[in-house]
Amino acid sequence: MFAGVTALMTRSFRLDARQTPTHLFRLAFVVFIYFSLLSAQAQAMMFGAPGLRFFHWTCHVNAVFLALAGVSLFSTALTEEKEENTLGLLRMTGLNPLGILLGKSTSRLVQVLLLLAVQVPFTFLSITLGGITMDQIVAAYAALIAFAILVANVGLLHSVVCRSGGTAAGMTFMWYILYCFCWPIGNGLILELNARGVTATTPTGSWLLAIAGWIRDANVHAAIETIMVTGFADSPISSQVISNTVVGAICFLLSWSLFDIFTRNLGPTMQTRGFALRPTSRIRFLSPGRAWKGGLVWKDFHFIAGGWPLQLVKLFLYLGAYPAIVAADMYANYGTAFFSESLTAAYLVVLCVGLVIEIALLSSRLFHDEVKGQTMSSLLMLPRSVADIGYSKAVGCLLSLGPALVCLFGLGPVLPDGARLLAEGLTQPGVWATVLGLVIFFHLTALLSLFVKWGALPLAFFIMLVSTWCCPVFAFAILALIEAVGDESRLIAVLGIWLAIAIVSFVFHMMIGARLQEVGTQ
Amino acid sequence: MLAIDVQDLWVRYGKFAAVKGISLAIPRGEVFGFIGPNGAGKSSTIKVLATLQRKFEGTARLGGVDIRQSPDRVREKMGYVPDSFGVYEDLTVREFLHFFAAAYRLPYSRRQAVVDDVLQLTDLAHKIDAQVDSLSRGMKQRLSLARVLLHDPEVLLLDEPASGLDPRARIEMRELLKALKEMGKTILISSHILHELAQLCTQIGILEAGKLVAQGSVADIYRRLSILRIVHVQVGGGPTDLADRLRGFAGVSQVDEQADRFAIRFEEGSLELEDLHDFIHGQGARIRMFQAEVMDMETAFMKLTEGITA
Repeated sequence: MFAGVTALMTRSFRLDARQTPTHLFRLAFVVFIYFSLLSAQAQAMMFGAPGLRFFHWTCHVNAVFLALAGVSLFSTALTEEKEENTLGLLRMTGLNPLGILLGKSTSRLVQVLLLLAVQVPFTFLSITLGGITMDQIVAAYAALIAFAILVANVGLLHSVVCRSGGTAAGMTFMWYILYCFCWPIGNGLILELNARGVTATTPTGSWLLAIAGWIRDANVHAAIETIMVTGFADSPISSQVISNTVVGAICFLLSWSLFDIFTRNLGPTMQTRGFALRPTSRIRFLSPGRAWKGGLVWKDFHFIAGGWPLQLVKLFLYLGAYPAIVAADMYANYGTAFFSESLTAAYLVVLCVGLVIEIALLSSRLFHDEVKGQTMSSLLMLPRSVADIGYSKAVGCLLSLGPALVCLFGLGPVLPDGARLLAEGLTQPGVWATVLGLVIFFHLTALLSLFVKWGALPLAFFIMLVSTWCCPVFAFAILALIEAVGDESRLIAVLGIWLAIAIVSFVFHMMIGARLQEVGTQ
Repeated sequence: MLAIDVQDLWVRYGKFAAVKGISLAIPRGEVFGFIGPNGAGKSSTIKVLATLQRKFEGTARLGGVDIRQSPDRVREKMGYVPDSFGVYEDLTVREFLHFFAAAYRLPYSRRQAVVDDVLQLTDLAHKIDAQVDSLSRGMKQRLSLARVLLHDPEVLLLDEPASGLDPRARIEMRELLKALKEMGKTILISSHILHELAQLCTQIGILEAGKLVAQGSVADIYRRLSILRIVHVQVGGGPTDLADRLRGFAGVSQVDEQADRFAIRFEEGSLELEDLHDFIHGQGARIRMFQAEVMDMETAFMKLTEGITA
């Protein structure tokens, strides 16, 4: 077995060593650390403990990076073999499930840990900058390594259970969201137990409180916050390190035991049609029907954006959000804030967040499905320009934003103070500056989806996070613009941001167009 | 007017030249077979004609339209089926073809009739409501061909259309291409299945290491390479020295006496088959079988190429 595992790992390391993008990514990480150091040095003039500030941020960014690695790298460890129908070949080599799991996951874990290793020498410089001790650095890296083990094995478990990389990545992402709420969940449990009179004096109470405590302390971000407190001198083997490592090991054992069940009958499966109903369905009036005059708009609206059935579901959800907020308010405040401005504001925020999530998901799928299905060359054969093809596809996806936009601009102004809130929001330079950031994020996601197999959305999020941290000039410029112009010149500021949006969009459209042409030619 | 006119075509990927000065002149209605080992430059040449390969040197015209200057007009005149093709697996055959018909800007009123026609031609009418994912590879290949026929192009560019197909699907594909040939389409087809190309193509181009090493009709290439044609003849009765008499007949190069037949070899153009038939009959032999072997393209290919790539 060990010969097989070694062979798999060696192959993986060789592939990794030969791929230029991997080395470039590591270099980019070092450059990020370098810029962070410069930023910390600059901030030393304004704030105390620059070393602590630098290391604090670096740790959080590392934790987010590890989570993204879980979503994109670990969750595809086995699904890529399933999708390429090569898992059977691996089984034929005589490798047992344990060998395959070790071979596929350990190499990826080592690759990620290598990425952490390249930055260690730089992070020691934070001691020189001041505000942090060696104990804190060691404890922080212990926390990060434990989190890496947890993330790698949760991703591996999902890659064993799920059939496609997309589903596994989605499941891992949902798990991470849940993991982020460890602290409030654990804390809430402790408060609830205390409220019910459960104390540590009884064995059951002690056991329940201990579990709630472990849940509360399991989050790596919370652990980093604890470690960064001045005067930290605890053991690096914290409860977070233990819990993350143990749960990671349990996930690995689960992956091992479930391996046979989920990989036994991997025959070809039918491609699902998502929300698109079959023409033979009873409610066929909601099916895609005949293609519209704009064929590409029709296809993307029905087969990427979900078509009529999903629009109905979304409309129902968005319309139902307002009564839900009112009901929640009545429950929490006994109706004191009923039909007040704050409820409308909360509803508008919910709609905006929904809109952002929808656009982000659509931008990650807009071109990715064509790349995955190798259909780009068929589209480029149409007597249309690349721009026409790209914009037609975008229109098809944007049509699906109808329910959110109808609620935002149709229902929003009708609600109490809704018209005023919307008008104020649309004339705020800060709102448009946020839109500019989001425009960059959506375009970046669409562009990355033409390069990476999975995880364009989390990767774009990570790049945005890192670049904003490394290069805060942009954020400062926007803030300065907002502060400097004052109320009278808001319009000028908004127009300036619109111009920036137009320039950014143009540059991204050029890059996406060039890449689409390249993908179609391959 | 020429359907495809390529002059001194060069395709480079960085420092590597995949196509080195190819010139092609394919008249309308011809079926041109592109033969060559892997990496010979066939796909690169086809991609230039399909307007997908933007960077190239030389001139390339399709249907009289310059590919570099008017790629959109070229796409209206041409249909391209790539070697590794993708189809929208989650659509039904009907949705797939209607989608492409709309994308090709066919008027709504005409779409149904056109889709029905191409389905009939590609023998996929019975699969109209099946999901594309459920089709066999051969059917998917035919669906790809149906897609490019929707806008009734003058020229078809087919890159390895029979690769990965089982014998039945290959035969069905060959019959479909013959039907398209009879409809007057100009077809440029690349394939590794040489004897099929020999049966189908009016002209052949043999490509190696980015250069065209031979071009012309199959008979021309045979003549140029001095490859002997073979006719298998089975006779009943006749003189005992029939083999010797055949060897003495003008144009015959070699006669092999096999267990139940004669294998008669002669150079292309040196002898008419009808004359040979008459000669044997004239010797008093009763002919049970008279079968000319399909042109041996494999021999031609091996003679012309050395197995090197660009």
